[in-house]
Amino acid sequence: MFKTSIRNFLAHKGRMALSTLAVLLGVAFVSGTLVFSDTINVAFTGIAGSTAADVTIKPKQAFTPEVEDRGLSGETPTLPAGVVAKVAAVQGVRAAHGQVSLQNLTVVDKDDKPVGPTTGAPTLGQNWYDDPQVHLVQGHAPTKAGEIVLDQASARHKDIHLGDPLRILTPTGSMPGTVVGVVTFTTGNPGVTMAYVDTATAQAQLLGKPDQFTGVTVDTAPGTGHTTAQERIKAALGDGYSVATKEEQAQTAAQQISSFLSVVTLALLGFAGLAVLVGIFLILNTFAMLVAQRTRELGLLRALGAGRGQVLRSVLTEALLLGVIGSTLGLGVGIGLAAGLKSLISDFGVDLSGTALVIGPVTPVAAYAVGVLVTLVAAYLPARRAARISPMAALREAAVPAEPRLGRRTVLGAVLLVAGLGLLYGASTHHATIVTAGALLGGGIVASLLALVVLGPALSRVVVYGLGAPYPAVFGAVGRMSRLNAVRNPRRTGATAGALMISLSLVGAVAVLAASLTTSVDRDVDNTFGADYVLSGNGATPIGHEVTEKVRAIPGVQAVTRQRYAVAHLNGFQLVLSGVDVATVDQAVKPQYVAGSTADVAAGKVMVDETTATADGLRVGSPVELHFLNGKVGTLTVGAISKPPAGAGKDGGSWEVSLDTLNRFAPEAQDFALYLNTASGADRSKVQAGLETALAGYPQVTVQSQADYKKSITGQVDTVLYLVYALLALAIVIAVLGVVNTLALSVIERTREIGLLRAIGTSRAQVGRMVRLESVLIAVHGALLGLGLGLAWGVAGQKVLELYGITALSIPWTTILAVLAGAAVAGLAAAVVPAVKAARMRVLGAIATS
Amino acid sequence: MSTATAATRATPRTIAARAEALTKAYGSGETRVVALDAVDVAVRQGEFVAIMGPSGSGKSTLMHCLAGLDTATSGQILIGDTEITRLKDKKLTQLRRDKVGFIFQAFNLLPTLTALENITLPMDIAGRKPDQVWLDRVIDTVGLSGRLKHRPTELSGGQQQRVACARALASRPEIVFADEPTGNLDSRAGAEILGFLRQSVDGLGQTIVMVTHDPVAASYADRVLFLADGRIVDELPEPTADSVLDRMRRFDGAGRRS
Repeated sequence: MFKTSIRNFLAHKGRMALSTLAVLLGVAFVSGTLVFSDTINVAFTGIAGSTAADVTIKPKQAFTPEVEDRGLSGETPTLPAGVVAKVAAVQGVRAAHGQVSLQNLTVVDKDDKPVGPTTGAPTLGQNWYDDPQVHLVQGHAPTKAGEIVLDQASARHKDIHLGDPLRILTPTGSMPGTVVGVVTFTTGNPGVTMAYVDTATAQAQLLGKPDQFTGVTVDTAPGTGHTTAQERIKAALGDGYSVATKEEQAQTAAQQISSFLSVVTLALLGFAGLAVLVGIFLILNTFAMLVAQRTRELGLLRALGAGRGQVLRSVLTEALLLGVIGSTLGLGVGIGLAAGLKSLISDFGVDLSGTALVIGPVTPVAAYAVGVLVTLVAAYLPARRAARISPMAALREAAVPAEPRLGRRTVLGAVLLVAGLGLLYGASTHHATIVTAGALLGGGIVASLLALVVLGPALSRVVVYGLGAPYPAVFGAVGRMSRLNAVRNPRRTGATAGALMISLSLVGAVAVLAASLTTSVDRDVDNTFGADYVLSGNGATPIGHEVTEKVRAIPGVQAVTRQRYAVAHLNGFQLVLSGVDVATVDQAVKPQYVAGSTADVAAGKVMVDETTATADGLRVGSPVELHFLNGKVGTLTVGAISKPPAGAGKDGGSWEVSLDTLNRFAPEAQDFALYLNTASGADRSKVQAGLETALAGYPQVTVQSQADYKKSITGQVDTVLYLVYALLALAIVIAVLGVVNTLALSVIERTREIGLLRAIGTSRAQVGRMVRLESVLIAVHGALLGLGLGLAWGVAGQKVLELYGITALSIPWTTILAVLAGAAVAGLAAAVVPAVKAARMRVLGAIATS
Repeated sequence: MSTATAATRATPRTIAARAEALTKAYGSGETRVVALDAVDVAVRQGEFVAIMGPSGSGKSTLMHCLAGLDTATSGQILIGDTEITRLKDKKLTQLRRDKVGFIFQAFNLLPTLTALENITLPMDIAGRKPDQVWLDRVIDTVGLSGRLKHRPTELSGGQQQRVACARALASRPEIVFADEPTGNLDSRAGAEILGFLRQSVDGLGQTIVMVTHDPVAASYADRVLFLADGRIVDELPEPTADSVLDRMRRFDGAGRRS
């Protein structure tokens, strides 16, 4: 029987090709993601591990803030210079270097353009000391104020040479200088821009604190282990410092990177999973058709004495072959994909050339597990159907497949649908907590999706027939035949459209949520944006006090409301506390209070948003004990509760105090954003011009009017939206391949019919049109179901997210219509090859085919 | 060759289809197989011609060439006044649609369409309205009035073939080609079909060319052409089943001798 499986597989190479392609694409995405994230992980951990000094001493912090919140406050914990000498005196320490290292910097060239990346990797400023990992390749080390050494990748990228002027912008001021040297790193450069100055300048101008360091790095003497040195240093310094060995540093770095990467990896794997799920439909259809075509042959095998199990196994063996071949190819393509991504990001300045592609043991295991399992699962139903073929089938006239009985299936589907819609309705009317509402929503999504998959065949009869209603009138006999052909095999049409439905349901849901978010933000901005301009830094870093002073001096500016951030822990969970100038906040951001008022905030109390208050059981008067990064602890009283702002889902909620209160606990927090109100009667264009002049030297600061602000939010939402669409495209492509597959197999099945049509005078063009029209019907049917489902999910999702400030429901009809039109075009595209094949069929050959 | 039979007719009639020196060969050089060897045939309007011959004699090839389904290697074919050997696929398709009707041995109907839709299919494809009076008459003649809404799977083999006949006639083609139309039917259903074909020639003035190996079927024709090895070896006017059988026996003998 194994031989028959292989022969059959080889005999149907062409028909297997599209299924193989579907497996290939899914597996390639899975393995590509795994290889790429493993490679990044190893590369970054390697860099972090090898750049770390033998032992590193840092001021102790109360907790480690989330990576993305680290730069918000602009606080830089420091230790006194005396520590360096203390450490140097410890036995086994060969050298101790006081280190000044700052992340919240901007380096600009002579045109005031940033040298470093504006997104992603940071720009670091550091003092120069003898570090074995850093190599001067040009010029000399910085020795006095005004001398700057730059890393080679940034210099090349921005075409900067020795002698070129540069300026380093810090939260406290700016430092002009000239490039005197260029360096490379032993371990490569993952996209960071590094600027070195001499230690005194670093302390005085970058850090703004002479005689302070941000840390101490230690080279141990030969023969002294890192842990031994660490223990001795700890003993010498006492409490108040964190002392870490090279190995611990590497481990921490690895943990941070992998926790960040795992989010990305999981998201990518989610999309890969979706692609694989869609692929199942395609494979299922292929095998169903192969089994149907081979009914007589399989009947003959049964008549000759093959058992049911043998027939089942023979079909599954073919599936196994398909899975193994698809997985192998997919693994190869996935590795290629990862290599491509690696070289792509090197164009963005992330140099990973030092690290080879990492193919962990999980990758091939996952690739084959996914590829083979998916094919076997997809082929199981058709295989079982094959095993049920009676030996009599061999003797019967060419099989006319019996009308499938869909009764039980339809009942099950209807039950699921009612359950799904009920759950979705429950989710959208349930206003207690996000957890239960989310659970209801998730259940509703799964149940309604399953319902439509189960109902697929029955629905395809009704919907496709309905959609095709205008066909006979518009396209005549050809249209009528297309319409009838499309509902001829409801199971097949259902599965083909189902694949498209799944991918487009997500498109629909995401589109609704994104549009609702944009509208909510818009409305929110209209309600709360009282300032004429808002100034903020690029990336999540403060803009610095120097800017504040310059802006205050602009004529026509009536009020400048400052906002600063501090990171704190409440009951062990991190939150970001915002401090504002209470005198002008009402006019700058028009807070929407549910309870209390700005006066309460001014009085030293804290404001929290309603969603967070409900979740944490807080009301006006409740005490909250906040633990700040620098070790200070403050017990504040809740004085006001606000409406949740749009997108308030940020972990920890939205918390606000007066600037004075914030300064008490985080005295070193820097100005993060400025809200400007112009004086009444001031000339807006003059103020605008004044702003432009004042900020010319600060490219890290962005000025936004209300309209700009809205646009930037919309832009961010759109970016995420397009990214999601791009990732969904993979599933959509596989779904369209499914349509191609179904059509191609249908054309082969209907060879004689097409021959007959051609014989009695149907032209080639008409035969082609017939196939294309059928394809459009199937595609639009799938799109319609998917978008309908997606709309339901999106609407329910919006209601659930009302708790997080997405208060407006907006349905993007243009997007939805565009997707429908796109589906029709995809249908036409899918039909190109099958239609040509059908049209080119030779009449006599087709009639003679049995 | 047809002067004798032409003389027996009361009125001279025009030619519905004609082949001159029609040759069809497959392959080339040593593997060249000649299926039709310079065949001359003429079918007059309103005539029912049967083509007989052993398998491999070229009778199906001759019909396919005459009907514009297959291309000739050399020679000329005329349907009415149209020379078809040089027509491009598009024109040829139009010609089949408008001037030719077909009845095949099996698989004659589209399973998705009803009987009536199958009958009017060639006109629907052409985008023409059927001539209702004529259509009713054709449907009446084949006795299908009660079954027009049925799908092919709901009809017996004989009924399906009657639908096919009705389709072939409904568009009033210049000529109908039937390829073993009774080959898959029992003798009663076969007789019905043949009677109907005869009737359409006598009553409706249809021209029919039928390929068959059944002497009884051939006896319904006005004239039988015998093919062997790609050549017309004989013809028999006003055939009866016996005379055809008789001729076939001799012909078999002749075949064996050669």
